[in-house]
Amino acid sequence: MNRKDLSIKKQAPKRLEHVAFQPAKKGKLPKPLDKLSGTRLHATSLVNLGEGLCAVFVWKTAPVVEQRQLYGWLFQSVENGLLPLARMDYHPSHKNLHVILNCDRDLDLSNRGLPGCKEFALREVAIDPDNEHDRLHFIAIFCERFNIKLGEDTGLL
Amino acid sequence: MNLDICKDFITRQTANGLLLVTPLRYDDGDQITVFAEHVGRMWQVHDNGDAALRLMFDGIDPDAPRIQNWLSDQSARIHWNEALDQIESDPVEEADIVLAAFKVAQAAVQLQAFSALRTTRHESAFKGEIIALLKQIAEETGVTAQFDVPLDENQLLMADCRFAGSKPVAIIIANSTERLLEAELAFSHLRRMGDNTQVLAVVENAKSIGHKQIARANYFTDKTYEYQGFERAFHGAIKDTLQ
Repeated sequence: MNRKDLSIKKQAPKRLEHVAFQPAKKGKLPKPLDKLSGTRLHATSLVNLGEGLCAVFVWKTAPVVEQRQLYGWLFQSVENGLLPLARMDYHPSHKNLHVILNCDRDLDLSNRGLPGCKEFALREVAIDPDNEHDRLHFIAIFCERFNIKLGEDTGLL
Repeated sequence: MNLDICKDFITRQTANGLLLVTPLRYDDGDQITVFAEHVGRMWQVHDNGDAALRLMFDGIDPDAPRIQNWLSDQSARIHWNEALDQIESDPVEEADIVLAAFKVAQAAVQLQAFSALRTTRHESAFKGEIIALLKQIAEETGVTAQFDVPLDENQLLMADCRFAGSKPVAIIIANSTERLLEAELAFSHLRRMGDNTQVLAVVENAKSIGHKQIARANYFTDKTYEYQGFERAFHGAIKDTLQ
């Protein structure tokens, strides 16, 4: 996966129609997120975006805002599972919004995370992952960054 | 030369204590951050479950026996909070927060190394070979096959492959004793629910799983096959089952 490949994925028409967070349970999501579980973790289902691409959003709640986190995964369906293309993170403990890209990494990362991948800082935001509106704002930024149309005719937000 | 190591560590107040950002990093580039919180008149340091989350993001279950055994071995310096999947220090005096923070951060780095447990190349080759064979059988028979399909409502029991049709067949590739037990659980669950899906398990060879385990599995699955040395027979047996 190089810059050109990623650019093609970004340009592809995509649409996110609906998201709903539920408590994360083992086996609910496909690999590499099949082991995701925990009392503080919530995740959406694997949301189809079209063009063989899909997304999952993960929300971690905690007693204080610095411990709360949001993650957005962009995957491509491949023959043996899911290939992560990007992950957008928000964890206000030490780093604001940033994205990790599967780009120029000479490894098959199918059904894996994004170890050792390039990271880019994004424009800072002040959001609280425990706030539903802020979670939708995070998802809206994710969609904006990856050229994903959001919602049906009336819009999600 | 005077090295200012402290400048690479950042501390901040939170609503219930402190956070310490270290220059150590997880594999995904995020810095290891630990939190110190009041526990009565003492302090406790924890990693907020970040190390376990990194493992889960790489498809590793922190509850896996080898990881839990390792965590138990570390009980002299850190503890595992099972409910929160987080690494915690013993309660310490304020003067010992820094030392506790280093212990927790060190354990977080070490825990990340368990991503090497993802799957062994051996297991992966076996599973890959069976999946490829099942796809071939689906094409040959025209029976629709789905992969990684849950067999129960809670999605705790997963079939590696499920052939649809009037006589549905679930196939579980048992590359470990635990996985073979899952096949037996799935079989028992489906029978209890009145579901007529046949549950077939396949192990690479009897030696790797244990003859006794396989003998038992043949009573608690519709059939448990040994693959190595019987590759063509397995191919034929699955086709016969579907037709």
